[in-house]
Amino acid sequence: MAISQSMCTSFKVELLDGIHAFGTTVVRASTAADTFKCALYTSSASLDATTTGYTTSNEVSSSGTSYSAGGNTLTVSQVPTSTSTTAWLDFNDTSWTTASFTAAGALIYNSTQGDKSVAVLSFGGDKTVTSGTFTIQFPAAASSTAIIRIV
Amino acid sequence: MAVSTAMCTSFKVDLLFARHNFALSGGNTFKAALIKTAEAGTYGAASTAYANITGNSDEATVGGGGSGYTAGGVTLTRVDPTSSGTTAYTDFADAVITLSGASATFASNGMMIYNDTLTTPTADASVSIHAFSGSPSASGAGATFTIQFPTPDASNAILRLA
Repeated sequence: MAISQSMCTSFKVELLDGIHAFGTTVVRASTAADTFKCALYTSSASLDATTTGYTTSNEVSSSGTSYSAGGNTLTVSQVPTSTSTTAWLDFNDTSWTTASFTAAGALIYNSTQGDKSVAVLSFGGDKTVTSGTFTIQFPAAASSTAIIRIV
Repeated sequence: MAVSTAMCTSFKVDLLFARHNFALSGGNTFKAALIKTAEAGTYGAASTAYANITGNSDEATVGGGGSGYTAGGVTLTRVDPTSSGTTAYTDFADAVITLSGASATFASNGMMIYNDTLTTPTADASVSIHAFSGSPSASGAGATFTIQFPTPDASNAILRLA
């Protein structure tokens, strides 16, 4: 199997449908921002640009690992903004404490909108934590590095 | 000044706030406002709203006592967003402006596509700017000025997220 880093193609279409709201100044029936989550997966998962939503298949086990199915809720640290001609946003780093598991990638998804996928993160191989803290450190919050960018 | 083809940067940010809906069913109303020749303003990626055009008195008008184009522009017919490969795209049906009046004249240097439904945080927020080559024109009763959108596919569609 494989986990390929990608912005999910379905997410791009859904942006054009006004589905995903990363900030609160939304113009649709609900004016609240959506909730975005980050789920972890083992190397047995198949995740890439064709992934359309959250799945429990090959998600990191929640048995004795301090990991809960569905993953962590992300905090938007920078609501959508722009620099030059690039729009971007950022999340705070997210951590699992007193954790014991191995993960090879993650899926960012919108739990408010039917668990629709946003992006796949590949860790480049298995990353293991044993009775410690597992942190996903998002890249620098800037137009050339932020985790979500429209160039 | 100048008209430069570009996706407006403010539009990219708006997408991440879920402010635009291009869906055929229940989507927003999008319009194409045409920019006159010898425009005073500069239009491109930094454009943010239809008001940019009116603020410069740069909207095209029908000359020679004719009619066929009204301020605010032409309402566009949406096509459901879709994807091919890893590119998402959407399209509009071609739009036709038909002139009335024997001496009617019409010419344009470009257009702004904007969201006529949006009122906040920016009214009539811009989507994109399109420069026309050679300032196309039409004249005479029944003459048509057609906005022909490119082939709706992942390589050519008018709005694409690659």
